[in-house]
Amino acid sequence: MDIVISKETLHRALQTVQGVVESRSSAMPILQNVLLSTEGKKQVRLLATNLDIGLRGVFEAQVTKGGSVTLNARKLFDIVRELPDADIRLVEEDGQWVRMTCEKSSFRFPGLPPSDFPTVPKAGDSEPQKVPSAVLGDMIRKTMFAISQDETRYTYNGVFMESEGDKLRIVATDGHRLALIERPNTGAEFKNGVIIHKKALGEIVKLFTEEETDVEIFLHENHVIFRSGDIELSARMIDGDFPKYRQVIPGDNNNHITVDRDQLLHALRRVSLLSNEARMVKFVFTSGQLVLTTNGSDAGEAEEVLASDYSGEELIIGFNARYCLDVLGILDEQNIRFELKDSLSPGILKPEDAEGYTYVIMPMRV
Amino acid sequence: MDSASRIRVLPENLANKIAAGEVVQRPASALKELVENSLDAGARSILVDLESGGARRIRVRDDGEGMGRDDALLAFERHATSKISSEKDLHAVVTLGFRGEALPSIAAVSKVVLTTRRRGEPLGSEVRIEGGRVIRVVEMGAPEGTEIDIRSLFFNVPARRKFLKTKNTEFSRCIEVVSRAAMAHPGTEFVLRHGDRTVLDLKPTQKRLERAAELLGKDSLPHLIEMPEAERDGIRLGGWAGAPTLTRSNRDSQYFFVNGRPVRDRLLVHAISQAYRSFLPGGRHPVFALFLDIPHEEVDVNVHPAKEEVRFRRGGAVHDFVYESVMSRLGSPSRRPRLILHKPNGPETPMPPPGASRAGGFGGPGQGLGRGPALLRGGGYIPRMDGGTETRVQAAGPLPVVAAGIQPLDAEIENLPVNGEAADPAIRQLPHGSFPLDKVLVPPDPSCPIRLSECRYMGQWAQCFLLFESDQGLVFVDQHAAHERVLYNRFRDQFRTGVVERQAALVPQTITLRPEEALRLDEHAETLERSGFELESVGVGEYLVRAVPALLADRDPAGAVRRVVEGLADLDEPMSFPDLIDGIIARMSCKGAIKAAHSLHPEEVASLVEEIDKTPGRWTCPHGRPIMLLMTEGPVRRKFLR
Repeated sequence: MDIVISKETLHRALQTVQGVVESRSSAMPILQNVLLSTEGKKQVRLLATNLDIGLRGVFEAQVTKGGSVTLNARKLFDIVRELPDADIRLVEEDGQWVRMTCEKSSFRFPGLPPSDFPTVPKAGDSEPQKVPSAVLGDMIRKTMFAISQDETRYTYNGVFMESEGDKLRIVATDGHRLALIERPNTGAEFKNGVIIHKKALGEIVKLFTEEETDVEIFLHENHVIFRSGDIELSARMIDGDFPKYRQVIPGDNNNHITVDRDQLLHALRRVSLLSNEARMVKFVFTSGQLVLTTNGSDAGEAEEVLASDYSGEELIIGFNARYCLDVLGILDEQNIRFELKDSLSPGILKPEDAEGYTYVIMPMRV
Repeated sequence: MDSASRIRVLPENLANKIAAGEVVQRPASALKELVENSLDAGARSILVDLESGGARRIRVRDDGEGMGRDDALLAFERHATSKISSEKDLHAVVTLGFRGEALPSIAAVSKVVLTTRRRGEPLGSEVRIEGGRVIRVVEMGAPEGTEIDIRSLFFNVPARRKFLKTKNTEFSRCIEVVSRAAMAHPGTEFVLRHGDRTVLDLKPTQKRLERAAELLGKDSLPHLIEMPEAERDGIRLGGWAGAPTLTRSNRDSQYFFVNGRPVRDRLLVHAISQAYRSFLPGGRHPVFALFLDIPHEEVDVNVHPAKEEVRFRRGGAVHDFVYESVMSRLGSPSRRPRLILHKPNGPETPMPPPGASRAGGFGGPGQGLGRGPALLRGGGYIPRMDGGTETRVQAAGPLPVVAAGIQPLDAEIENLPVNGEAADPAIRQLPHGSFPLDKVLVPPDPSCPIRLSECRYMGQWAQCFLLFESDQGLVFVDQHAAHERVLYNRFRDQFRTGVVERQAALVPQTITLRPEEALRLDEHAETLERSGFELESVGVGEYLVRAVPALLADRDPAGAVRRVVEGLADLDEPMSFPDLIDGIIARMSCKGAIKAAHSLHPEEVASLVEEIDKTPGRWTCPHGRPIMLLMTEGPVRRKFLR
């Protein structure tokens, strides 16, 4: 292999795949490498995988001699970042060694055999489902925090995506709280839904931000592949039944209370600093106000008073502060609305004046 | 075939063979029955001879009360026993054996010669039985007491014979049997011979600790902590538990007796391992010899044919009592073993070290230091008058007397442990002063805990170790491990007393339990709820997990329920809340503790020292790493050729 690529392009290319490269030492050292292969005379393809997800991208280069090499992705990235803005030449030497030169700098890296690099599923020829890039990224960003990190409940380890009529829906839950987002569907179809593994979610949010372009989604037997432009992300699908989320969203929570989101977020952050390990904060709704309190911990006690439009009888409910902070932090709207029934039933949190987002939290009790 | 009489009573012979399968599984189980018979007969001396791990021959001779001719014959009838006579007796069994199964069972599967003479009678008898059949009964002269000579165990049950393990394995089980009996009966002499080799030779003693020291190994003595002998509801726990500095890689050095009967009971094992749990590194086992006394009507020993398991009427109470007793001693060892092995060299003293001081507990001045084992040196083993205050005797001589339990480094001493491992014999060849560091830096003696606030702080070393000068030597404290222990104990106490917050489930998980598990769960529903679990029965053996302790919400809540239920199989009580979240507490303390590679101001050290001194169980961090190690003066002096 003998190619010339601009520093700017190689830097961007390596940055794109970096998040997928196995960062910890692994039983397969080659997972810390990135595979570079030439495509025709004008392109080079980069591929990285940690076996759960894979990312490939095609970038411009001048190919003098075709071939492929694998190199330590982190090392290569760290060096390229520091190089001057000029053309970089990569030449394969004997025994998988690669020489990289850029103006007056010269480096030699040992590579690993490209044939050892694991295969990563490709998009294929089937008809893709299309979702606007920024919409997908935003939907995932607003739900992914609610998934479970507990590996024993593997169907909770991802977000559930489905289409229903003119709605596209993504749901995530860890069994104690649930986040649901709906956006208008522009013709994509996920009839039975797919569960996308949590490891892919961060990359999706990072990669798919553009308003104008669509993400093409290909469903394979065990994988789901997202493609946008020259970038292709493949992720393991979680095989199993997502919990029946509709049943747990209460329909008769008749106490509706509006609170300023930003004020609540900061008050809750302050109060929760003095909560105990279990992070319980008491929400006391009385006429015209919401009082947040923590006590019982050796760290101290805290109380915050906020304005609300509540006019009913006193309602006290305990929530895990983290569950509330998670959602308050990702919403953008000015006001949020609590929909509550009593201190033992699940509570709902919604943006006040935007449809399509529902967050359900189970209360805590002493 | 006559269909009317398909069911028939088994011939006596066959019934015995079947019973033998239960009672006599291997030579050790036969030996156990014989030794217990001897003890029940009031023997003061028991001699055991084995050949080929007991498979070829087991001979037990005692000086007990013996049997008359008729009794000798009757002893081989099934359910013939002199030990109980009515059902009422069964509920208050005081003897070791009582089922009347042992002898006939053994006789059914071996060739037995029983020779016995009843105390005070002129003539004895000899009964010879093979495969359960009486071959010969004669009157003859015999020493007082009983001798049972069993040859060719399982000669007529080839299947069983095939299942015997190697000679060594069978033999080691026999050692265990005799050791256990000997531990419980220090007043009885025990001799165990295998072929020509004498393996155990235990002289009778009035002191239980003396017997314990012989069986647990002399090296363990300085590390043994005496139990408080506290009593609760008629239950008492005596004996000794090894400090966490003394560990073994197996459970061989664990003795537990219920009313003098050796048992291996899950409930008790659990109680003790709970107590030790946060002190020991993984894979290490504590050493103990514990004696539980409990009113006879409170315990059912008729559970297991070999009586290894017992059943308590109030299992939970017994469990907690044992746990708390051991825990309280590990937390604050203020009593030390009260034994002075001061007998001069003589046949009565087991293994007297050559050159040991004969001056009793006071040791020889000066040159006696470091010569002879810890027991014989210095003031270390002066018994305390009241078991509470420290008594340390200063001996005359150029050097201060080192307290007990400091590792003697003299070449004469072997097998003194660091963490229970036998000392490397190679050390004996090393010249004075060239001992490897791991033998120089030793865990402090648990019986006289170091109070850091009474030591002079010398400074921090390597941003990790705090150095103190104590009267026992130079103390190294791992700042992270020490602080971790302080926090761990504090958090545990908080969770023990605090309220349990529960997180309700939005999507409740279902768990499926086996019928016996479900039954146990139902019995303890209320306690589980107090620990933060809410379970709803939704079918046979099916439960919805409605809520879990909030601290467990993110970490496999259904798994936590399972662990609790499985715990119920071993216990009569569910795990306590702090036990359940032990991992979390340990993580919290590790996170909160001062890190290594962190320099500390003397003021910070002073406040840490105060906390450490207040903390019970300051042996190890919750992961089992030591908190303090001691460097003694002796080896340093020797290194300087002083």
